[in-house]
Amino acid sequence: MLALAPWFYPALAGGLGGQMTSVLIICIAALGLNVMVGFTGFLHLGIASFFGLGGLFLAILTVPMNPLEIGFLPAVFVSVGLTAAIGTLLGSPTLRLRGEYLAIVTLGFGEVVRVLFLNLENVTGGTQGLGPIPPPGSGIFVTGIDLGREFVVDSRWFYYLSLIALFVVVLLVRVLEKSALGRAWIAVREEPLAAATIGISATKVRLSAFTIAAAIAGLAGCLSVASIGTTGDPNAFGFNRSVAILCAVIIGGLGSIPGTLVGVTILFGFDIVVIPSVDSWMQRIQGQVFDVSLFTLGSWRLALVGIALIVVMRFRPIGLIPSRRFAAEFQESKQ
Amino acid sequence: MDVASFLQQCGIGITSGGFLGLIAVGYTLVYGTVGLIHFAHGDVVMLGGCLSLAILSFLVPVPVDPLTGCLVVVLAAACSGLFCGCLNICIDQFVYRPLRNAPPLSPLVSTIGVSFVLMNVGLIWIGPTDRAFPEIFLETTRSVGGFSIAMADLLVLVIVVPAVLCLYVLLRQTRFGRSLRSIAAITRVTARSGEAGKLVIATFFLSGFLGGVASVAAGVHATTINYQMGHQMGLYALTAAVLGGIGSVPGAIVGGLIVGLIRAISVAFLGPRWAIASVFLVLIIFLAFRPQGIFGKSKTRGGQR
Amino acid sequence: MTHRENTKVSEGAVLSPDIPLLSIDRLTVQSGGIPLIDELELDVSAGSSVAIIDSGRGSKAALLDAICGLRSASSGSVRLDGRRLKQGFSAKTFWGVLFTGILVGLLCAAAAVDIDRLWLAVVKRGLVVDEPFTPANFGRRLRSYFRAELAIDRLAGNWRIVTADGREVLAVRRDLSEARELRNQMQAAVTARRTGPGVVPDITDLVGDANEPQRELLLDETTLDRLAAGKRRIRFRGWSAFICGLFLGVGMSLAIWQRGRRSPEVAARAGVARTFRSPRNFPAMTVFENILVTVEQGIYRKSSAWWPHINKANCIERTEELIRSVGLIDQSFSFASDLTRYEQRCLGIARGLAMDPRILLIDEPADGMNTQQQHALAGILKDVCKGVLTLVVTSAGNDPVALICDRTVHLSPH
Repeated sequence: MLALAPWFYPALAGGLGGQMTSVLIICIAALGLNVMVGFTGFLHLGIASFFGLGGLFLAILTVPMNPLEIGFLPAVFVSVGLTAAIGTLLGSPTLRLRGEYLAIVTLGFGEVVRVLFLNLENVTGGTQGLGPIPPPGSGIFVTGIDLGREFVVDSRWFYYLSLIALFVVVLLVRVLEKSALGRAWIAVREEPLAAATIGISATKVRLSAFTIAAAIAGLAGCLSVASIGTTGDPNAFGFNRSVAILCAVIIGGLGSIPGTLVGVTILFGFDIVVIPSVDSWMQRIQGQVFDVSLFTLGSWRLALVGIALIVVMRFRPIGLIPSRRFAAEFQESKQ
Repeated sequence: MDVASFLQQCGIGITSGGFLGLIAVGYTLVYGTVGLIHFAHGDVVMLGGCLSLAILSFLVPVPVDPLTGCLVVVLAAACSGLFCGCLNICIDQFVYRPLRNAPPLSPLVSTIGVSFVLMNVGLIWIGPTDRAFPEIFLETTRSVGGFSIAMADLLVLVIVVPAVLCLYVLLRQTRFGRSLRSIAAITRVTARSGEAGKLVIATFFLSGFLGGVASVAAGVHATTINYQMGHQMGLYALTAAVLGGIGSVPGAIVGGLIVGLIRAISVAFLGPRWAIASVFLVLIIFLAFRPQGIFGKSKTRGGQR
Repeated sequence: MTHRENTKVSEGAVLSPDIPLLSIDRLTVQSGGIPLIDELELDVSAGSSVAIIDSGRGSKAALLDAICGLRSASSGSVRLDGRRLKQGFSAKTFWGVLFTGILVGLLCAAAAVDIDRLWLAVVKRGLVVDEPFTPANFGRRLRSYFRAELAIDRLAGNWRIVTADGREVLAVRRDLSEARELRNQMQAAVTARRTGPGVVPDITDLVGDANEPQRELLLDETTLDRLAAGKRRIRFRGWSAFICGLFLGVGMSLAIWQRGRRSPEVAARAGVARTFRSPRNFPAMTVFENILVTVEQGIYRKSSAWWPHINKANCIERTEELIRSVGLIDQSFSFASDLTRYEQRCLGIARGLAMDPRILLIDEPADGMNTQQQHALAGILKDVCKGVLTLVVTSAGNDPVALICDRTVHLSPH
C-alpha cells in the first residue's frame, strides 16, 4: 500500500505557513505514536511528554544562556538519543503491565514531566521556557547569505525542513513495518499469547516500539521548539496534547500511515487553521448585520472538537483510512 | 514538622482522599461492567460541582449555623448526584452504546470527545476563572482535643462517610449489588439490552451519583471550582482506581484514601508543586511490585480458550 | 490421590536408551482446587512420539500449558534436557538489576541534592560572573557545591555572596574584588568552624559595619554553625538518597524479573513449540507472514547475538518450504482469519515447525475434523515430523493422528 500521499503544497509564506509547519510537526509525533498504538497495540497517553523532552534537550544544548551551544544538527541527534534513552528507561519496568495500567503509567509520566518542566526552573526556564533558540544553520553562510537568518525571516524554510523530516520519518516507519521487527510488533498486538509461544518476548518488542516512538516524538519536539524559538509554556506538553495526538491517530485509522497523516491534518488543521478563520469571518458578518458580535466560535472550540470526535467515531469507528489489517481484524471480531 | 501538624496534614489528606475515592469508584464501576475508561467522568463531576455551586449560592447566601448548613449541603449533594447520574446515563446511551462492538480504542476517543464537550459547557457555565464556593458556616474551625478541625473538612466527612456506607450496603446486601459484583468478576457486559442492559444503566447512574456527591465535597474542601477541575481531579481519581486495582470497588476507595494521603504529605513536605509527581511515582513503584493493584486480580495464565 | 497414569506401549516402538528429552516428574496442576493433573510422571525421549489420550476435559490442555509455561504447576517439575524451564539468574540479569539500582539511586540522589540548584550553581552562575566554561571550572564549581561553599552571584549590578545553593544571601557589595575578598574571609571562617566546633574564628571584621549603606547579615554563631554543617548535610542527603534509591531500584527489578521467570517465551526459547486446539494464528496477517515471523523468531532464538543478522532470502525459502509441506500453497497470501478450520490447524502445525523446535506439542489436532481431514493431518505429521522431531500429541480418543505415535499414554479419569 504505497499510498504516500503527494504533499504538493504550494509555497506558503506568512502566518499560515507557520501553522502548516506545526501541523506537519505534529504529524511526525503522531507517526511515532502510531508505532506504539497502531502497530504494537499499546495505549500511550503521554506522548507529548517525549515531544517536550526532545525540545527541552535541544534548547538546553543550543541556547546561548547555557554554555554548551552546539550546532543544530548535532544537538538534534543528541536530543533524540537522550529522549530515546529516557523512553527505554521508563519502558523497562512498566511494559510488563496490562494494557490499562500501562496507559495510566504513561499518563502519569506525562504529568511528572510536565511538573518537572515547571518546577526545575533553573534547568528548564519554568513557565517562560528557554530561549531564544538559534535557528538551524546559523553561522552557516551559503553564497553570502546567513542561513540562520533566512530561517527566522521566512517561515517557508521551516516548512520545508519539517516536510523533509516528515518524509524521512514516513520512510523509516514504512521500512520498520515491513521488517522482522514490525512483524513481531503486529504479532504481539494480535495474539500476545501465541506470540509468546513462538518466542517473541513481548516486553522486548514493546520496549523497542516504545523507544522508537519516544525518539520520533523527540525529533518532532526538536523541530517544534526550533521553529517556535523558545520552549514556551510547559503546559503545552501535557495530557491535553497527548490526548489530542492520540485522537488524531485513532480517527485517521490505527496502524495506517496515510490514515495518521489525514487524521492529524483534519484534527489539528481544523483546530489551528479553520476555527480562527471561520471565527473572524463570522465576526465580520455579525458586525455587519447586528452591529455587535454575539457569538464567538472560539469559545466553543473545545466542544466542536469534541463533537467532531464523537461523530467520527460513531459513524466510522475504524478510522478514516484504516489499514488493511485493521479492517480485517474488525471483520473477524464482528463475526 | 511536629507530630501534631503532621497528623493534621494526614487528616486533610484522608478527607480529600474520601471524595477522591468516591470518584474513583465511578471509574472502577464503569470499567468493571463495560470495560471502558470513562474519561469524561471527571468532567461530569465538574458539572455537578457547577450545579451545587448554583444551588448553594441560592440557598445559603449568608453563613448559617452548623445544622442548617449540613442539611443544605446534603440536599445539594443529593441534587448534584441525581444530575450527574442522569448525565452519565445520557452519555452512555447516546455515545457509548452504539460503540459496544467497536474496535478497542474507538470508544476511548468518544470518551475524550465527550470530555471536551463537557469541559466547554463548564467553561460557558462558570467562566474561565476560579469560582468560590459560598461560606456555609459561621465558624470556620473548631478545636477538638487540641487539634483544630476545619469545618469544611468536617462537612466533607459528613458527606463522604454516609455515601460510602450506603455504597457498601448497596453492593453487599442488595440483589443489584450482587449481580454487579458477579458481572465484574466474570466477564464484560457487551449485550445491548435485556437484563445486562439494565445493569449497565444502573451502573452509570450509580457512578454518576457518587461523583455528584463527591463534587460537593470537593468544592467545600477546595473552596473553589474551576472548569478544568474535572481533568485534575479525574487524574487523581483514576490513579486511585488503578492503584486499588481497577475493577474493584473497595480498591477504589482505599486507593482514593492513599492518594489523598500522599498528596497531603507531599504538599506538607515538598510543596504543592510536586504533589502529582509524588502520587505517580508511588503508583509506578507500587505497580512494579504488584502489577494488579491492591485488590486487583492477577493476570490469569490459562491456556484454555 | 491415586497415581493416574499407566503406560501402554504399542508394538513396534523403539525405546531410546538416551536421557529423555522431556521429563515430567510428579506434576500436579490444579484449577480452583480441583486437580486436573495429579502427580504425573512421564519421560519422552528424543525423536519419539507420544500420544496422550484422555476423554475428559481440560487435563490435556492443562498438561501442555504446564509444559510450555502458560500455567504454573502446584507441584512437581518439568525438565527439558534435564534443565528446568525457568529463566536462570544469569550474569546479564545481575548487571541489569545492578544498573537499574544505580540509576534509580542516582535519580533519587539528584532529587535529594536539588538538581535545580545544582544546575544553577554549576552551569548558570559561571556565565553570570563571566567565567569561561572549561572542564576545570566545571569541576571546581561542582566540588564547591558539594562542599557547600559560598559563592558569588550577581543581581542588578550588585555582587552578592550567597550559599552554594543560592538560597541565602549573606552580603552584597558593589565591587567584584571586594566581594571576592569578603567571600574568601567568610569561607575561611566557615571552614575553620567546620574543622573544630569549638573554634571561634576571628569574625570581627565580618560583622556588619554601621557605615555600610547596605546592611548585611551578621555572620554570627548560629549562621556560622549552619553554614559549617552544610557540607555534611548535603553529603548525607545525597548518599542516603542514593542508597535508598539503589535498594528500591534493585528491589523493583528483582520483583519484575521474578514474575517473568516462568513465561512461555522462556520455554519457546528452549525449543518447545506448541499448537492450540482453537487455532491461535495471527488473524490479520497472511499465511506467509504468519510463518515468516515464526521463522525469524526461530533465528533470533538460536543466535546468541543481540541483534542477529537475518538472511531474508533464506527465511523466505524456508517459509515457502513449510507452506508447501502442509499443503497451503494456494492460500499463501490470504489472511489467516479467512482460512477454514482445517487449514488453520495446518497453519498452526506449520508455525510450530517453523520455530525449528526440539519438541512439538500438538493440542488435539483431530478435534472437529472429519475422518478424511484427520488422515490428512496424520499424513502430514508422519511425513514431516516423525522420527525427526519429538512429538507430544493429545487426543480425546484413538484417532488416526494419535495412532501414528510410538507410544500412547492414558490419563485415567477420576
